[in-house]
Amino acid sequence: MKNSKLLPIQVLTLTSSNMLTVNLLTIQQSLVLIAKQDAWISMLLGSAIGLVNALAMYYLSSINQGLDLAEMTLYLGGNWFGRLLLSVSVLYVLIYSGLIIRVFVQALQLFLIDRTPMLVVSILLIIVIVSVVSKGIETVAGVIDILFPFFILSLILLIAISVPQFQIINIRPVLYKNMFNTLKASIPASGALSGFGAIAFTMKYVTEQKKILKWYLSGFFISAGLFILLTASTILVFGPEETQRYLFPTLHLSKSIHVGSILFERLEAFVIILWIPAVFTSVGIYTFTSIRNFVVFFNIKPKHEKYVSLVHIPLLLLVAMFSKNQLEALERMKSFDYIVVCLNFIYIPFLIILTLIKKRRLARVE
Amino acid sequence: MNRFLSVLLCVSFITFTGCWDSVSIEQRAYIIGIAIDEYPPISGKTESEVESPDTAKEEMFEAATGIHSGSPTYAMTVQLPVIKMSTVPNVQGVGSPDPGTPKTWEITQVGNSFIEMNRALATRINLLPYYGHLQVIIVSDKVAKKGLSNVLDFFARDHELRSRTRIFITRGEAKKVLDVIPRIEDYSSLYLSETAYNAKLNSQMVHWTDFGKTIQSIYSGRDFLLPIVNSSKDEIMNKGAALFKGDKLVATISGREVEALKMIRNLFDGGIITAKMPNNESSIMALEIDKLKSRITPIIEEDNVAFKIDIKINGDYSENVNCPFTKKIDKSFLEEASEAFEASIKKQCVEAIQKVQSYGTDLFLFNAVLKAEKPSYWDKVKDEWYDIFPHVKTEVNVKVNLKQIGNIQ
Repeated sequence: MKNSKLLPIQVLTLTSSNMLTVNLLTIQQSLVLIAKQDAWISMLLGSAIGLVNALAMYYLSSINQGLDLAEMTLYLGGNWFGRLLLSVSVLYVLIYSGLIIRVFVQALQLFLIDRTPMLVVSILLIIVIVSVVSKGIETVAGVIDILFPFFILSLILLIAISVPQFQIINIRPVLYKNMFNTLKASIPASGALSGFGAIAFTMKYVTEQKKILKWYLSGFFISAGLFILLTASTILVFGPEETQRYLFPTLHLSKSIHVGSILFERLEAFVIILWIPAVFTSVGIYTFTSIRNFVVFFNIKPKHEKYVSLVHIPLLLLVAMFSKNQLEALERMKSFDYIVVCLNFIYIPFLIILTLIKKRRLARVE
Repeated sequence: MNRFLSVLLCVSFITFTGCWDSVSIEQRAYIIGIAIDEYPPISGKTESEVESPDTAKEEMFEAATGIHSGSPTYAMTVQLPVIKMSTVPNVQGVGSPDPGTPKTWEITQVGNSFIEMNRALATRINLLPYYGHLQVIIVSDKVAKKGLSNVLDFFARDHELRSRTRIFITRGEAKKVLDVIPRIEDYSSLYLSETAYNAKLNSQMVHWTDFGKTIQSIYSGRDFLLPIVNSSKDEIMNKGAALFKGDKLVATISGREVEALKMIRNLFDGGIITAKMPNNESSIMALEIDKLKSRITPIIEEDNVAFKIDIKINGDYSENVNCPFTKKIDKSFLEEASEAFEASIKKQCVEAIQKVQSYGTDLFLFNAVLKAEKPSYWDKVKDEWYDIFPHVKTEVNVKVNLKQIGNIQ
């Protein structure tokens, strides 16, 4: 891994891209299953919870400057306890990256390339990701800078074109005898936004630390806003009953758009083609995070880091291929939305407390 | 390592990509229309059709290629355009060449499972069936009476079909609609699918219900309607509607009732309404509707629900019939004409409501309005809604505002 440097504005694209994972294709179904027509409110609440977690993550990184999450876990927790804590992060990031690949490849097979074997698509995607990530965070961020505007514009276009199909009756009644379920659904909603955690691994590479917060929050709000709008649009177009039947509601939304007689007849193919680089960037950041976790966990010397990248090819492939079928992979993905919320509420505050205790001890010693 | 990854990438791209899903454009069988009929087609056939050697041969072929389990219950006919014939005119005119070979190929396959029938087609054509450009699905009334869920499940799962594909119901054999040879358009499927765009001119056709909306209605348990089509040798008429409860066809309504329903549900895209002229029963006047807004409001009194339907129309006075050409239109006439149109539309709507209520199908979505606006009341009545609906009282208020009278006064 090269000793790269990032500009503060690149935090925006890095944060936003990492938040826009395959969850954006699937989250509506999980939320609607719980909160029905109020799922968009759950997404709104989930964003508020996510914002609290995102600020906690930023605070943790800012009080441990020069360290990424893996390094600070070892630094604060010590050799044994720190490694025990870090093993949670190691497993979570690796499995989650593999699941993103799996779910996305499933979507590709469903909507675009149904005859190409899943194994082949997964291998190619992983090799490309690992080869870019092995060049360092600067390369990953550079690729994201190019792809990000296209991706965001495609999503805005998708939402805008679906407006004529909105039926207000689909989201009514609002919050009628549904408050508990709406709150319950806000947990996976906040989990779906957990990509903001990339800041804990990328902040140390940014040149001007003071300007980071502004771009970090901008990135968060862009992605959270798109999640809310897309959830609301899907329910407004399909209604809760139909939305909960679709495994990939966002892609179905693009399939339902038809302007005039022939225009946008195959918009979903266009959307999914744009999604390939988007998922690529997201998994790229997760893989970068996973490589950092491995390097710190196994105390690997910088000259051997390239082998860690190579090891990720079979590891990610193994995780991606582990689920027996489509539904099993999606269920695992959903369970990770809950796990990450637990991590955000336990792991990060715990590290903040450890940092503050350590700083106080150091201050006393001095 | 970079060298190793680069080599790995190059080898992967050469060996893995672009093979499995590559289908050249000439190898695809573009299915543009599907007709779904009951099988065996016992009734609805004339004697001459049954005895025709071509029909008998076709049926023998259907049975010979069936791969069904048990007795087949559906006959699926697909329409494929014969691209190389697309430049030949459908109708022989003066100086035009003989049309000769048809421009489309209609293949019928029987079975119980639609994916099975689709795959069975592969034994009879040398191309890969492709549904990405499917324009219409025509379902016979007999199949629709049994339910649409079985028919649509395969199409809902398959990724190729668009949500905006149109579904039509036809009385009698659905295949006959595909057999129509249109005079202008090349293919009957395209001709039929494009009739819905005329909903801006004529309000007696259902234009908003397509495959996606049908699926949505079935999933959400809302009653819905689909357009009814009738066909002759070279013509298709899209007028009236089939009423569905759950996924089953229960009744049909006329074009005028569709018109009223569109006004009540705020789905009116444009059209003409006629009324008798004030103080002159033998004369008729026409209103071209430019803009129509309607709103359904539930009113609950003493634990009973009623619905107030407000319809506001802006339109142009567009024709007099049986009226002296010398008679001028003045302000007071316009006021009287507006009132006459209001009375006529109100009568039309009330009659349509009564008819739809008699079928017990809540096509006005009173249940959805009640659920959205009075959720606590809906909780109380939802289980017996279909007992309440036929007796629900309605109040229709129509306000017509005439804007233009055309070039002459």
